[in-house]
Amino acid sequence: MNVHEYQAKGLLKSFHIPVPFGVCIEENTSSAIATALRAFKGRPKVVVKAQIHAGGRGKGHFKESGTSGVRLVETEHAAEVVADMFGKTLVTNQTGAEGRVVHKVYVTETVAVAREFYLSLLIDRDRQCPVLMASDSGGCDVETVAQTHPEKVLTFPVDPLLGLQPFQARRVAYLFQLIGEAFNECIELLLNLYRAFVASDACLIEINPLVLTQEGHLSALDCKMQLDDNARFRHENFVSFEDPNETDPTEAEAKSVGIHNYVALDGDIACLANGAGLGMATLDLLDTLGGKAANFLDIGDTASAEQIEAGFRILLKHPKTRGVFVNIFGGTLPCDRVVQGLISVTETVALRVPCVMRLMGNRKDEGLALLQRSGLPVFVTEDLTQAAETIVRETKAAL
Amino acid sequence: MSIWIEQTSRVIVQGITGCAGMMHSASCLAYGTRIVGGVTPGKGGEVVHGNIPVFSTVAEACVAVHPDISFIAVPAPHATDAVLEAIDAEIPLVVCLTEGLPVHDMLRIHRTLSGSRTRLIGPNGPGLIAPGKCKVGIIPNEICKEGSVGIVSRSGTLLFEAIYQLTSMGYGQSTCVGIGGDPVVGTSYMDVLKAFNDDPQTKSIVLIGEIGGNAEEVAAEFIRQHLQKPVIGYIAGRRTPEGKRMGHAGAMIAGNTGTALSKIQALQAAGVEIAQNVTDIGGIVAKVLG
Repeated sequence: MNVHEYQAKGLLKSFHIPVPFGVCIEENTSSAIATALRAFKGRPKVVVKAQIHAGGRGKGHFKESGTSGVRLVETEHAAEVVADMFGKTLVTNQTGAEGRVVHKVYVTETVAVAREFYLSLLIDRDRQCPVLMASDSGGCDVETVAQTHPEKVLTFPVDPLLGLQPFQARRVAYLFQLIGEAFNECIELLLNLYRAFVASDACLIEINPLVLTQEGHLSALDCKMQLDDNARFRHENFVSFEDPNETDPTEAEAKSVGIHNYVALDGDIACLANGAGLGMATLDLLDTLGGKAANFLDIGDTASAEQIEAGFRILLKHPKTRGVFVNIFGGTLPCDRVVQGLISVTETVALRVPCVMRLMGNRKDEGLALLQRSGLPVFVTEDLTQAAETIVRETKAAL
Repeated sequence: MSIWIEQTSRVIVQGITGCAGMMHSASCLAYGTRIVGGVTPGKGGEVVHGNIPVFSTVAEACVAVHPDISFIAVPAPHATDAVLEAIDAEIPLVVCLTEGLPVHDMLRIHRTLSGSRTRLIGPNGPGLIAPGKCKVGIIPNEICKEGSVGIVSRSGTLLFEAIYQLTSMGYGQSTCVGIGGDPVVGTSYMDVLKAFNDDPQTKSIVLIGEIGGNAEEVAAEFIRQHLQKPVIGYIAGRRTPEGKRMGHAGAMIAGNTGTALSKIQALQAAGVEIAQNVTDIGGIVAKVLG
């Protein structure tokens, strides 16, 4: 799960990591903007930052005005700049050409920067451990720096049982060539950052740039954070980080009924499978046969009747759906529960497109019998190749 | 010989009194697995499935029934503790089906496993089966047939699919192992390949992979250098968009790494015959084995 910059900085702050003072404005009204800006009274300039779940905002531009997603402005003009960002579409190198609409704007104090660094903690699945990355070339793309100047990037694994050790933190502080108070601040910041990483169940925390101010202190000027969806059960605050504006509406609807494995795609055959691997293999197979999937939907092998119904409802009402393909290999999941889900949904939503079901495994005969009794116009087989060929052919014929 | 589990294996089920624990242990018992006890904190002294004793701790179960396998069917919020309890009790094989373990927990478990006496299979997988001998997990009983093909897969449903195709075409299996779909798991492809290589019953191997990470590439290098037996491979996710998490927490393409193409090329370079589609697995096995 991605979180916004202002939320990530809120988390950092709660772990005593210094961040510039800032206020997030979530409502485009003159009173909300005025209230927020009152906190910056007496400061000549502020930074206005569009909040979207994508990086590259400073170098990005608004479709409507051509201006940047991060702007340094005089405080007296800040209200107009903030109001002007709301509802506008920001295009960055990470959003794709369509861009993202801005629904939240973060205003922060300005910081007099002496030097910029890069710092991140992430999970390296190939090495199966947390990894710390640091560079004294902050503010730019770390992957490019790693390629062109590998000596400028320090990368080392952290033992997940021991956590980040002071000697490791010192290596970073020496890389940054810090001295005196800033050196000690850096050690403390790194140890706190690792605590935040573990305690927040983060998969990634990237501070880019971390800056040394002209006053000689460290400050996290920007932060990108990804949290582990699996750790929801022990973090009540994860719900508050969810932003429906940042999610595909159908993906959000699927999530609301406990289907976490829905991904919208650009084809026209709606797919439902009971397993991630089987779901991916289904997309590949359709593609080989000349069909294109409209989505990936893995209901899992333990789906309830309600989740199955919700899954079918999502598939059937999608405007792009020209055919429905169901691929079930029941291990725990009974096939007749899936069939019952389709029958229940078609009582309220008409089945207007071709539908093919491949049923195998747990209670496939019961599923088949139930489907035949229902009289629904569904082609059913246990042969996956035949099933896939049929839906591709029928979807094309129905065009 | 199968790998890691056999007819004589003594299995305990952690979480046996729960809904999943009862259902899965019933299915394993029906297959002939020797379940000698269960563990649920606070339920020590109870008896389930007629005659299987329940203990409150794994340590007590070890003293009383000497298990060599623990099957963990505990929901995610308690699964990490259950796995660590089994490792602490030095149970040689721990099979964890649980989906949704936080990755930080798995990092700690993974680190604890090295230097321990335990092998962990999973989490977020279907377990393993040695057809005709023993099953620990949820692989459907009726699709398996004893034979000489070893199968390893991250995905549970794709493992079922491969087993079903092989059985339909008359090719039985030595052992089928689901290593789990998470980014950090206890047992890697390489661990399973090593065991298959040393197992006299296993004459050939089917490896089913998917996008994300580099486990298949590492496996390919091992195959190239060490494997004496024919390997058939299939990789799911050729048509998956970059940066999207496809169900499995582990199945995600990031940048240029973890793509199906890189895995297929690495496996082919190691001499592995690749099935282009999931439906071709049985056919390629037939072609290779004759």
